[in-house]
Amino acid sequence: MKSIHILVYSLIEFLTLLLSSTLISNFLQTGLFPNLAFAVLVYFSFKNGPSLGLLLGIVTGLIADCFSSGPFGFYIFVMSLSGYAIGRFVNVVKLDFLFIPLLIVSVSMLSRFVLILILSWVLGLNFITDQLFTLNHLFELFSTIVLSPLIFLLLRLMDKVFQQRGYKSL
Amino acid sequence: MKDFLKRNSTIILLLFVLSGSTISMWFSETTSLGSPKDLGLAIGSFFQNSTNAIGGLYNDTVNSAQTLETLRKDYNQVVARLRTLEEQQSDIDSLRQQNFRLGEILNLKGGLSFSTLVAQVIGKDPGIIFSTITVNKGYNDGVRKDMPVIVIQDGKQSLVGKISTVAPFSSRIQPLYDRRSNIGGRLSTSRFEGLLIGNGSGEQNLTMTYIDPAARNQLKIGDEVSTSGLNSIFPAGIPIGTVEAIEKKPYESFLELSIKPLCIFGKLDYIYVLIGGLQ
Repeated sequence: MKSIHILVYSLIEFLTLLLSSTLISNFLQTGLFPNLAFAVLVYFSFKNGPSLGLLLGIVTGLIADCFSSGPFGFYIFVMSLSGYAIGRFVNVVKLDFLFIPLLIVSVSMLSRFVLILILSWVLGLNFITDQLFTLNHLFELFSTIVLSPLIFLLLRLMDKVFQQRGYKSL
Repeated sequence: MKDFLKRNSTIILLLFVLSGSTISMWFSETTSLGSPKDLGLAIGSFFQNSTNAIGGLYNDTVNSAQTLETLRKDYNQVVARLRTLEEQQSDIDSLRQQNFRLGEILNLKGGLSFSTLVAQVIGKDPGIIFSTITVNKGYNDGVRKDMPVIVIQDGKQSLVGKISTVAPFSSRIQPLYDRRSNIGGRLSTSRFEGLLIGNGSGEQNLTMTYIDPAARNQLKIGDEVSTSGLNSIFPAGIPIGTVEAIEKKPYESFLELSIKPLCIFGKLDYIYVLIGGLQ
C-alpha cells in the first residue's frame, strides 16, 4: 500500500465531510441527509483490508470530530473500529454493482448503530441513545443504504481513472 | 517480542486508538477544559468558512436574476407597507409617551436592548447524532461561552440557543433543540414557569416540562413561551415558541407542553450573539 493511496483516501473523506457539514446541510434544510463519509469508508475498507480501514477510520473520525459538537473522540472510536472490522471482510465476496454494496453498507450501518448504542450506554451519554431511536436516524440509515450502489459506482470510476494514470487500484 | 509486535501491529494500533478516544470522550464530557474540542473547532471551522464562501459566491451568481425580480415585488410591497406604518406611527408616539410615564412610575429601565454581534452560520454537524451550528465569529470578536444567541426571521425575534465552544475566529452554538439543552421558560399569558428540553431535531417541537398542574385551566394552544430569566445565561423575555399541545400524564405530578419553536433552524443564515448586558 503506497502512502499516496492513504493521502488520496483521506482527502476524499475530508471533502465528503466538509461538503456534508456545509453545502449539503445548507441545501437540504431539513437537516436530513445520508452519511456519505461512512459509505466511502466502507468502500475503501472493504477493498483494502483492515490496516487501511483502521488508518482511514482514524483520519475520518478525527476530521468528523473537528466538525462536530459531540464528545471529542466519539467519531474516532466509531470510524476506526468500523474501518477495521469492515476491512476484515476483504476478498470474502466479489464486489458487484448493486447487491453487494447494498448488503455491505446495510450490515455496516446496523453494526455502527449497535456500536454507538453500546458506547453511549457505557459512557452514560443518554442523549445519544435517545437520538438513535428517531425518524431522522432511520432516514440517515436508509438513505445511506439506498445510495450506496451509486457511491460505490463513483468510487469505482475514480479507481479506473487512477489505474489509467499508472497508480495501483484505489 | 519484536515479532509479536510486528505481527499484531494493527490490533495494537486499534486498541491504542480506542483507549485514546475513550479517554478523550470522557474528558470532553466530564471537564470544562475541552481543549481537544476547541482545537477541533478552530481547525474544522477554517475549512467550513472557506467552503461556505465559495458556495455563497456560486449561489449569489445563480440567484441574482431571481433576486432582482423578487426585489421588484418586495419594493411594491414595502411602499404599501410604508403608508400603513406612517398611520401607525402617530399611535405609537402616544403609546410611547404613556409607556415612559408608566416606566418612571415602576422604576424600570425602558427600551430593553442588548449589545449584539452579527455572525454568519458557516457549518452544521456532518451527521445527525449531534446538533452543531458553527458561526464565523469567535473569541477575538468578543464571543464567550454561554452567551445567548438570537435570530430575527420575518421580522420576529426568537431564541436560537447559546454558545457552547469558542475558538479564536469561530464558535459553536448549542441550539434549543439539542438534547443536552435545558432552558428556563415562562408562559407569557399565565406566567407559569417550566423547563424547555430539546428533542434532537430542528424540525421537532421542544418539550416544556415541570409546569405546575394548576396552570392547566389557564393554558391554551397558541400561548407564547419566552425565556424566564431565572438562570444567569438567558435574559428574560426572549421569545422561544408557542404551545402546540398540552399533556398531563397520569403518573406524573406536573404538566408537559409541546412547544413549536419560533426559530426556523433550516433557514438560519445570520444570527445575533448577545455579547453585552443592557445598553
